[in-house]
Amino acid sequence: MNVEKVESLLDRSRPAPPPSDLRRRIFEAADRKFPAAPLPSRKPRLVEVMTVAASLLMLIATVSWLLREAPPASSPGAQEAGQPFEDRKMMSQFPGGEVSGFTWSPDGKHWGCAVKLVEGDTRMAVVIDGKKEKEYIAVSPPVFGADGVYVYGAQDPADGMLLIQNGVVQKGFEAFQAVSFSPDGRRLAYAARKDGLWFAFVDGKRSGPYDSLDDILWSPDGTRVALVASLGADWCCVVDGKKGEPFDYISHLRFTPDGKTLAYVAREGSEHLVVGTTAGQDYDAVGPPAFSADGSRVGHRASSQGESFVVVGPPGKQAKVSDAYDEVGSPVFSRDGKVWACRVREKGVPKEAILVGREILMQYVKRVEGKETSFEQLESHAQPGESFESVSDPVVNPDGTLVAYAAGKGSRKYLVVGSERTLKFSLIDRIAFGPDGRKLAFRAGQYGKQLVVAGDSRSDEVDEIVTGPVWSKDGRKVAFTARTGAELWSRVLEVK
Amino acid sequence: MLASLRTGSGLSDKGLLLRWRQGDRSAFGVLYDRYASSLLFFAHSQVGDAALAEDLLQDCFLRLLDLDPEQLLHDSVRNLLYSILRNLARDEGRRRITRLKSYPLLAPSTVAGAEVGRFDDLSLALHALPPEQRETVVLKSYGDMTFGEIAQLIGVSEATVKSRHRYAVEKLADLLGEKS
Repeated sequence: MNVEKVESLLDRSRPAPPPSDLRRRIFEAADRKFPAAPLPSRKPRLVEVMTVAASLLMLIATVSWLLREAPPASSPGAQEAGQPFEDRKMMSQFPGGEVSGFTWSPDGKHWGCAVKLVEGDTRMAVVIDGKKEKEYIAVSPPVFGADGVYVYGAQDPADGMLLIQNGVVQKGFEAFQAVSFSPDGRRLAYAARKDGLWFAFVDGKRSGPYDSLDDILWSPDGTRVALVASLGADWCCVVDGKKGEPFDYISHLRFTPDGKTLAYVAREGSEHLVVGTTAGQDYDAVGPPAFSADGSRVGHRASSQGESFVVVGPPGKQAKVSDAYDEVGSPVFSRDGKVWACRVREKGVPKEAILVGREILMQYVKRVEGKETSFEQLESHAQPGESFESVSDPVVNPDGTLVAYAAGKGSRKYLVVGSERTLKFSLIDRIAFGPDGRKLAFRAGQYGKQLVVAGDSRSDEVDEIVTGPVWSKDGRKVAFTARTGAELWSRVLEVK
Repeated sequence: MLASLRTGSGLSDKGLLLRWRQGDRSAFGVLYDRYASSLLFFAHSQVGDAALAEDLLQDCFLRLLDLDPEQLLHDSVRNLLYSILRNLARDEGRRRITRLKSYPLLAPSTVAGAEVGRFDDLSLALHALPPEQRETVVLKSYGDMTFGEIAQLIGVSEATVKSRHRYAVEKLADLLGEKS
């Protein structure tokens, strides 16, 4: 297993809940040590009586408003990630405690998340469109397909691990993983373990068994399914049932942007990137590959002998294009792949910067025995920007003329566009270029509140920007999900 | 995502402590639910004994409740809880020779599907780390602390914390690689 896998596993895990009797024990000890003092009683003053009366009237008005017939839902202009473009309150009082994995359905008509139920101490439940489903010891956040279909995993003390699809329970397996819908949301794939062996299920059809099954990936057109699985000591990719070349380990499975070719990192002593049938150069470790949108370039971080660097180039011809650093992030590309950028941590000093690489057509003149011949050569030149205590992963606009990122020291974060520091907040993340490739939208935080900034527009401040911002296709709006207190809202911000 | 959405109140930790002091006993429940899982995991990973970890967690919360919340204006309650718990665990370690009896378990968090076997392996591998590396990973991953906060808590430089974390993750990769 490589470092990225470990970090992913750490991210996806949480401590098991404490025993339920511990809560009672600690509460009893607290009550014994700090007995509750009776609150002093006194007669209410007139202003307090008036305030209570006004509160009751407001409560009656609120209940009447909540019980009114719901207006027909407007057709959401669902965009990327299902974020709807509509202003509406989704919930007034969230039915649970700590929430994880909030997600919209691809058509933007449904939403769901996993909730830890405070009242039930160790119980969790999935909430779909505001309705709490059955409680379990643990649940994973739901995954949506088309037409409101959703699935999630749950742990039940009696039945073990369950896979639940729209309330219907799939039993009889020891574990599930890699649950995913095809891009059109019509087909479902997952891995399940029974008697210690793993099986892949695609459209309900079983394949396997495998000793391990790490990943299941749909092609962008949803016609093909690739698995990473092991039998004995060998790992291989399995595409539509056909096994590929065996390796010691396989990770970071990807389809190229056109969906025709599979790419992955293979370990055989050292590691290398495989794109189709072409193997890249060997390194001690190789990071996840990233492709430009046109598929003409691929890049990844790599390390050898304790130093990390960037590797970029046409698939199969990628080469080292940067100096060595202590740490290197994954590169991101302009649409044509000729500009790339990534986060780097400088050697020996606690400073980070954004490294921007550009392909330049160099012209050379060669002199041989007094005879000059000129030739051209495409070269990638990388230049680090200003150093900061920390920088975020960068974003590159489609034509490669702008690179943006958040940078700063401690809780002070600047939005850096090109080489200029612009806005300052305590939090800046989820940076995204609009369709014009110039305007930027991002989530910002200040004084304990959060807001969305898009172009010159700013949203109201709320307790939390849950999802988004997401740009509309015409670039005139951004949409996001916001929480204020226990209220959830779908919000739209006009972009100036 | 949406991690701060909680029932009961949107009160800060210090606000909850003040409410508890004013007689609202449920405020402590909200605070307990916020941190008990990760604190217990931390304590268990420090002392290697589930029962002892539970006792330390109880002592930790009682000590917090004994403090005047008004005096915590510039402190993070979460960091304070970890600091109290760490000191308690270290005191316990000085009082007697602790032997590993058990290690704390992990559960799936935000994955689609539940990878039980993987998380069991991760729990075991975490316990195979040197104590100072394990402490850094546990505080970072399950205590949601920044490297700076961890450095302040354990009294070493941020660079040291970062390198410990990096070595820990690499060691975990090796340990889990052998199990793959």
